[in-house]
Amino acid sequence: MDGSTGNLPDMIESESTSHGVHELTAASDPAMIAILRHRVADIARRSGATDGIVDDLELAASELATNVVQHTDADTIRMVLRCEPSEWVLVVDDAEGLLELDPDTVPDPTSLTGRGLFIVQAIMDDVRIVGEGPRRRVRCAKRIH
Amino acid sequence: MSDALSRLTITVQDSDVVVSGDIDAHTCPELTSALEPLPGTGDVRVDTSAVGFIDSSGLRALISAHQAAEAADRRLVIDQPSSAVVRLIEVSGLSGHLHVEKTG
Repeated sequence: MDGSTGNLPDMIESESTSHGVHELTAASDPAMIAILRHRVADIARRSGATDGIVDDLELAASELATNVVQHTDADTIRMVLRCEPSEWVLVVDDAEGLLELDPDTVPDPTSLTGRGLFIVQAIMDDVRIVGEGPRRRVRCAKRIH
Repeated sequence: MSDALSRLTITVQDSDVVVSGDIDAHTCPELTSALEPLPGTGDVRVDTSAVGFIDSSGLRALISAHQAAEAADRRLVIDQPSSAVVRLIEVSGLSGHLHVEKTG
């Protein structure tokens, strides 16, 4: 890692420029969700991602960060964003609050909750929960081409 | 760099609501407060043309208000949806369930 930059209060970002890996950490607070998703969008945009990819990465980051805030007891939201040759990859720690993945079941239209992960699966090309127990993470990818 | 914090501006006049900014978990309580109880009488029109971002938290506020309107024999109309609003409603499979009007 090349070092860390504290851009904003309560958010820490470290970037490995040699590998294009961006690690973002923020307090688990609703106010931090926008800061994180804006940073994800900025990173993708500055790296040349299309508007559509930027928007989808931003939305996915917002949904997954919201899940951490609302459905886990984690003190921090930690996400890693990296651009690989054929896809953008976003990994968010703490998938504890998520149900098992089921991209085929559309949430009941009258339901007020339970749409976050469905939306992520709808806009990203590959979504999976990795790891076990409290170390479970959500890994999602958006193809570039 | 874009503004870091999510910001939301809501104006209400009778049953016309204008929403501008980002709707997420941090700001959706403001939208909920503006729509519950339903303002004015008759159809509630929510102008979302200036909504730059919305996620499932914002959608929840709209669905809740939609259900309250239905229960009161009124309609909640999502008026002039921005591209972000259109996209979220479509990917959520709610296109045929919410009242969306692309007027103006």
